[in-house]
Amino acid sequence: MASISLLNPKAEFARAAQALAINISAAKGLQDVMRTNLGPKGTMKMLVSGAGDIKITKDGNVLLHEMQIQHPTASMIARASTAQDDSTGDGTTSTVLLIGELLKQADIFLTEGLHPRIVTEGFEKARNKALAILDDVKIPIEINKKNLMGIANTSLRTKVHPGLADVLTEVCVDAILAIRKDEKPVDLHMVELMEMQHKTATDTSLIRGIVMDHGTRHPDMPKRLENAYVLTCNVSLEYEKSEVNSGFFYKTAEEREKFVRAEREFIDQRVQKIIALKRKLCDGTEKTFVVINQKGIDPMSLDALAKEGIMALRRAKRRNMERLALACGGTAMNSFDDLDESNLGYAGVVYEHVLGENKYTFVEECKNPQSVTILIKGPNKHTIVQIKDAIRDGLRAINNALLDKCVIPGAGAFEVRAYNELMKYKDTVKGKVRLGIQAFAEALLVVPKNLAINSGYDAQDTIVKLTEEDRLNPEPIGLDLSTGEPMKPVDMSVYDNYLVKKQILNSCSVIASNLLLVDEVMRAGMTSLKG
Amino acid sequence: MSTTREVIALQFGNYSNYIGTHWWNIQESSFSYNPEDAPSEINHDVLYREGVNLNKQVTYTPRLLLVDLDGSLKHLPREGELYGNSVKRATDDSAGDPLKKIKEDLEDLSTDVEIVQQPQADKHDFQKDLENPVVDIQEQNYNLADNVETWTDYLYARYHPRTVNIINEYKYDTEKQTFDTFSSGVQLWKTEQFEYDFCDKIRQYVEECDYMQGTQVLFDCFNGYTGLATECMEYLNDEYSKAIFAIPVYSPRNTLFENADEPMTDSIRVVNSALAFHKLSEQASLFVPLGTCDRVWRQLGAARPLSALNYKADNLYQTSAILAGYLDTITLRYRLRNAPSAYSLAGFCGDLTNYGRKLASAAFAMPFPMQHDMDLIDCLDKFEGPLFTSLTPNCNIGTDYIIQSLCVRGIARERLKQPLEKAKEQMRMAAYKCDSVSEMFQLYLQCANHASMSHVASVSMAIPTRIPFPNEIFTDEMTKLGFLSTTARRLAEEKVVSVPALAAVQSSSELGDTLETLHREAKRVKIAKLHRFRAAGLEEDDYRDALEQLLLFKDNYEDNFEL
Repeated sequence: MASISLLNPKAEFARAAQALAINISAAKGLQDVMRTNLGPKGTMKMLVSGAGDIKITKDGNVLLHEMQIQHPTASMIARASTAQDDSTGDGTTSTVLLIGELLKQADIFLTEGLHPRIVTEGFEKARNKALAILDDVKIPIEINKKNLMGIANTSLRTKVHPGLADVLTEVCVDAILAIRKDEKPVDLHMVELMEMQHKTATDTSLIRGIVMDHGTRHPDMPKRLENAYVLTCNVSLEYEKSEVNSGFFYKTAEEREKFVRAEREFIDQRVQKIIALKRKLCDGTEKTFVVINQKGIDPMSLDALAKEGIMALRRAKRRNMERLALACGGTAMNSFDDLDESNLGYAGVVYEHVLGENKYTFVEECKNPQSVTILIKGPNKHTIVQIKDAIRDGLRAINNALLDKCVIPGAGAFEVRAYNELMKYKDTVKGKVRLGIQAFAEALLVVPKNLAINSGYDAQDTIVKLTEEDRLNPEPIGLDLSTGEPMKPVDMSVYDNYLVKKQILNSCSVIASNLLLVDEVMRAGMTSLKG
Repeated sequence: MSTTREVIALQFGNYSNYIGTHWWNIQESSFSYNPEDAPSEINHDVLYREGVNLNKQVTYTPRLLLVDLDGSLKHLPREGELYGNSVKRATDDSAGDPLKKIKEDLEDLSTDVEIVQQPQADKHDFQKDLENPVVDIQEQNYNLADNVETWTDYLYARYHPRTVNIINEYKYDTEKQTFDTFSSGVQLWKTEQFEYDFCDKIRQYVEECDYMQGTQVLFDCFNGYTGLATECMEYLNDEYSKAIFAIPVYSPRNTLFENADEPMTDSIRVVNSALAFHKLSEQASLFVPLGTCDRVWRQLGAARPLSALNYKADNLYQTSAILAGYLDTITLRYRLRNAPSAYSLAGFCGDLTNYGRKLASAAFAMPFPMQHDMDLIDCLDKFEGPLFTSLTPNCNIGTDYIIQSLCVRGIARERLKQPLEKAKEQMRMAAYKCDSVSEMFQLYLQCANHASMSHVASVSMAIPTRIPFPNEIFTDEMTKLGFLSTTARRLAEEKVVSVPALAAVQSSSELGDTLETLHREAKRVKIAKLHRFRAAGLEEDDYRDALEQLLLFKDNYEDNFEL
């Protein structure tokens, strides 16, 4: 009898073998759900809620979030996988598969009486060795479009169908290259993602400028301007009725009127400053003027600006202020006190696009845009959401490669190589610990195995072929999913992130070890504690 | 150029959504689709926006964002039904399953698709009938009071896709509250879903407005929504600096928190309330707590008695309808067409919050107790006792030295007094000089409340009480039009179609007691023993500071002042 039941007779508990069985079955269950999604040939899942909401996805992390996981062990694994996504943006499905497989392999030895502690020691040794192997197979890369395309494509193909993945790859790589300055780390926030429910998914494109989800609010304002000065500012052009406005505080209606007029004049002066600058710079030339304000612009101010042919947008996103300054040049102004030409940005064309009740404003043909927009299109919401998730991961994958300055050959090549090396390494280790190493090595093969299964090939057949080929070749060997034959990933430009693999190896072995060492699972509420 | 002064509405929490649902229902049942009718006194554009969906149909939806937990929507798709983007599953095979069609579209792209579907959510009979043009819902009896499971069951209004925001981190459960502490609400606000997406939705609404007056925030004041809503108000102040009218609400049903017994649940509620009130005193322009219980700090008190109403004390559907009636009436002041500018939200809040008295109390009379054959002048003359019932928990109606804003609705000009030739007795009353409902109330209040200041707005339209408003709460002494009758009894099958009402917001020294009792209860709680607050990031010192600030805030109500 567990000691907890003396304290709380209602507590539920499971011990030793039983506890382990709970953990292993949960891990296996989760693995079964996710295994079909692995790799470019994995299936998509369409999730339909009770109310008819649709979500279509192939991304392990999205799936885990949508599944309502109750089981404590399963939610622990899911959390590891989410952490994987947070730090790297990829490898979530692999994490789940690997944890499940590690437990499965360990279970074989445990049922034969091996102590879990010994298995975990083996895991730790094997992990260290695997990390060393990872360092051996990594390929340093030059930062150029071709190399980045390879890595982005590998990641994106696991999230969306291949045709779309190719389009998105180009878009993502171009976006990153556009905003990258010298050797400085890239700020991914400078890539704006804008969605439009319109046309088809493959119309998704990169705009070398900024797209905003709002437009002008005055009927007479120009809808398209070329050769434009862009003023970005955070200055209210809106007459704020202040709180002392209420009836109790004025003796007469005239007094109130007077106050209102004074307030109004204050705003008008600001508008006049913009108009004066516009007249000075644009009158008599081909140039035009655009105002993009983070604060409000009321109809009277809009009217004054429209009369001058100025295009004005209000309530821009806070983050767009920074992006606009990077895309068009100029600085975001917080006051109009000393406003002059050097504060302004430039855009070749600014135009509005109306779609149903939504307006979009494109700021394009900027001189040297260091902030760009990916315009996501799709016929319906679920397609757009799917693309958005994929693009986020694609950008992360490219960014990871920039940070690592190296990549890992993909298509299961690393796993096969690590398996072979670990099996050799195993023989050099004395004692039962080597069984743990063996389990770890076997578990790694879960990735190439499932890649093969998902593409319709025989798992054992493939593994035998791959391991044999790998032993004969100095270069790593991966699986060609379209033929089922071994190939060199480098030739096909199939790359994985170094960071992602490293993270997977680390987190999976830790979680799996923790789960193996659990010898008691209990659940006891504390409903009766006084507050 | 239109000069509508827009208001944005926010609803945080399940009970708030119960109230909100009733409120939007009430508003929509007061829409007139007859072009020949005179334009309504209420300017619906203040709270509604016009839009176009992808099929080029015009929509008219509330300028609203609401937040609830995963699982509380039942049949309602998150994006709403007006703009598509959800599937209606086929009931028979003949039409072809729309799911299959989507699947086929995807398979053209050479990927396998596996469909994982939850069983279709049950629709309440009321919702089924709404889709069926043959059935007149006013003729049906749905027994909503007993079988409503969540607010979507009796939702008549239709929402914009932006409106519904679901928290996936916590699951909705009718038996226990999972989203428990102020601090976890604060943490939730810092997630991407709120900090970016939710704020961006607010920005999109604001961008559409020409003359935005401010926001009104309705939120559950007993659980984690306190943190979420007050953080949101802080954001609104930073970004837009407009008036914020906050309405913290208390549910009459004491649903236990997860892993907590009743005393613990009470403690959590008290701590959440104290933290929320402290934050509100900084962030809101005016806040008016609402609830149908007379006490909510330690134990939930008894239901407030409202004359001629008969409601179940802990029924969410019925109590929320009463609170919605109150809200619809009190907000009239800033929703009127052609209103003078002092009738704005900022003016409304400004009037009531002198000396930093940002907390005010609610008082309501529905129906306004007036005999069906009586004139207002006689009714007020014969009136005894307080005009209305308090709807703010732990607070009584103030009588002297008060500032108040009233809204009267449903009393027509003709019911004011008799014309000169028939006036008789009425001639002798001072009030006979008054020519409008608001004037007469002003006069009455001047006499009834010593040294007080009152603002009265009046609207001739009563609160419409068509289904899905709970008709069963009206006793049979009410006539069809909501007036009282001592002689005739209304027949059971006859429904009350509208009720006159009187709503008020009061700022009185009674509120000092409200704050003091809250402070006393909150101080007694040993915060160190409530681990969940610490786990969600609340430091003991911060709590102590908040309580001290609360006490300072209470001092604003201390001295009786002269006007």
